[in-house]
Amino acid sequence: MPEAAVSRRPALRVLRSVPWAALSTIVLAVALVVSVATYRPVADTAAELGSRIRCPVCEGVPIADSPAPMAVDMMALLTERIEEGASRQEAIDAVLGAYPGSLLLDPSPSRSTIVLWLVPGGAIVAGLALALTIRRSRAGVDSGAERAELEQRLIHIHTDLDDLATQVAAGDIDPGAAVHLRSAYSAELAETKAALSAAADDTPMPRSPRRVAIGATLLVVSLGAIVIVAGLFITERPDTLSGVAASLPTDAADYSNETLAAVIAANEDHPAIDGMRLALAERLFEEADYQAAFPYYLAVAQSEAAADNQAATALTRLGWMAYEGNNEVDTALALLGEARALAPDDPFPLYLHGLVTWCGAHDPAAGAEAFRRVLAMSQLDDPTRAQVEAALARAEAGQACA
Amino acid sequence: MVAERAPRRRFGIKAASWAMVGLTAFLAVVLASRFGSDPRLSDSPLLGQPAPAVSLPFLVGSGEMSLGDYRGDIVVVNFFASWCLECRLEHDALLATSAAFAGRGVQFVGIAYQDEPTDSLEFLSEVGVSESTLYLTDEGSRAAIAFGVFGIPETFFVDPEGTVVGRIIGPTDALTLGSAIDAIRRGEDPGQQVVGNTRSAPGDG
Repeated sequence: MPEAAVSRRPALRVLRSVPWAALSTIVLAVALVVSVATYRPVADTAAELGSRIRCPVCEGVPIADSPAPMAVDMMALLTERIEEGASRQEAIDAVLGAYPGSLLLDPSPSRSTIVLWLVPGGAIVAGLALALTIRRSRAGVDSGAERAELEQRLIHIHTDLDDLATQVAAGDIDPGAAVHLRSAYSAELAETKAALSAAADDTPMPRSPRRVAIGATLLVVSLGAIVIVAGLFITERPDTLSGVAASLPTDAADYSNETLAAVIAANEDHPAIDGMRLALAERLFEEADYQAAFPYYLAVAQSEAAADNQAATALTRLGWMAYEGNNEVDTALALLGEARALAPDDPFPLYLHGLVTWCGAHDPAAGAEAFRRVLAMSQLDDPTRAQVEAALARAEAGQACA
Repeated sequence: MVAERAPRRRFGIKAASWAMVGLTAFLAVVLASRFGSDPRLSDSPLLGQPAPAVSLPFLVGSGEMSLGDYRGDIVVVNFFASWCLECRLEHDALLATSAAFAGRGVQFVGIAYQDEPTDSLEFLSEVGVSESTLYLTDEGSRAAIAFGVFGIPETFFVDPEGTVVGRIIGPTDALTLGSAIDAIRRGEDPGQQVVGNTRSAPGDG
């Protein structure tokens, strides 16, 4: 017995392993089939993903089908990412990460695409509702025909009852049969009346003007609400403009010195550029950056397009800078003289002329004369007048300027 | 019982009609609003995001640069090409603005888009080279894709923290460029502006 058992054991083992082996084989086969069926070469995956991405520089063409260099480069990047082991979404993100979602031909549901996702379902619901409406409407028409038929039948029954009464009175019919017929007619009459009553209940009521008005108001309000709700899905988008953007600022105070310098440099020939040059120069002068202000004053002073008052201001500043910065008295007086010629009513160049004459040329009498002419001008404010009066007093006294 | 059924049916008819009218109106408004709009004008999803970490070779000479190299500065990235008419229109403004802000914490970068390096160099020698601008090439359009470029010229602004905070679509001018930089200096985001036409390829128009 033990020998037999030993001798049969390998056979049993083989027999027992058969189902498992078969099962394993089946599992392996299925796995192989599945893996073969689902295996997609990189090129196929890239092409499939590329067919879902709209070419940004073409009109509605997927990048997989576009010969545009940008689309070709996008496909190359897509393929590269897939070869590196990126998931499909990661590969798409690598290409579309900086583009709006509208470049994806099957965009995922979001606030802006929700309309696209809801429309098919909404259309189906609306279609079903319409079909139902039409069907019920037809049922209403059938109900009208049925009602007419019932009324006709009612007339027939009344006629039959009248005829029966005439025949009974004339003795043309057996009384027993007459009772039976009258009972049948009466039952049919009751049944027809009931049917007619039910049909009458289904007849639509005529619309009153008030109801029409309410309906119309509701329609208008609803349409307005729809427009507002739809507007929530609409992103504000700027219009495409042509040409170059406006090049000069309306108020120089809103911009940095560098921006003004850039605008001036890029618009050297603009007829209105001198105003900005002067604004920047004045700002730099206020900041005591005379070296930076100088070229802008000079450009205004030399510009044929500059207005007289602009040129006078520039010449006045240049004159003062020539004296104060370089002690060039003659140059300063010449520049201030040009400024006075352009703006004879402006007291400022005349005042500076007096100061340079007094302090630089050491001629207090000439300086005092200039100060007196300044004081004769009417447009001086009180602080300036006081300052000029003080200078005049010192010049008249023959004192050196401070 | 029968009397209650009739109003319900009338309500059904009305509901169906209203549903159709409403759906039609909704679609009309939405589709009409989209009609003729240009997807290129959509807000860039890059705004508010870190600048793409791209390293690009210099147009002239060897070596390459990454935008991250200029962290702490405002970086103005302009995409241009020799075949782009609008790029010629804005070039003076770029030269002037780059020069005005040179050495003041603002770095201009010009990236040649879909352009042969020899053509880009010829273009720059014709219209002027900015000494304060770094000119780069973009092999395989990696930078253009990373920035989401639709057409050129397009200009992006990266703040000192490395975040993309502005985008100008079309040929810009010195005032627009300078204003955007001024805004970033004040801690504001200049956002996206459309100032003119762009083109996607030679002959596009």
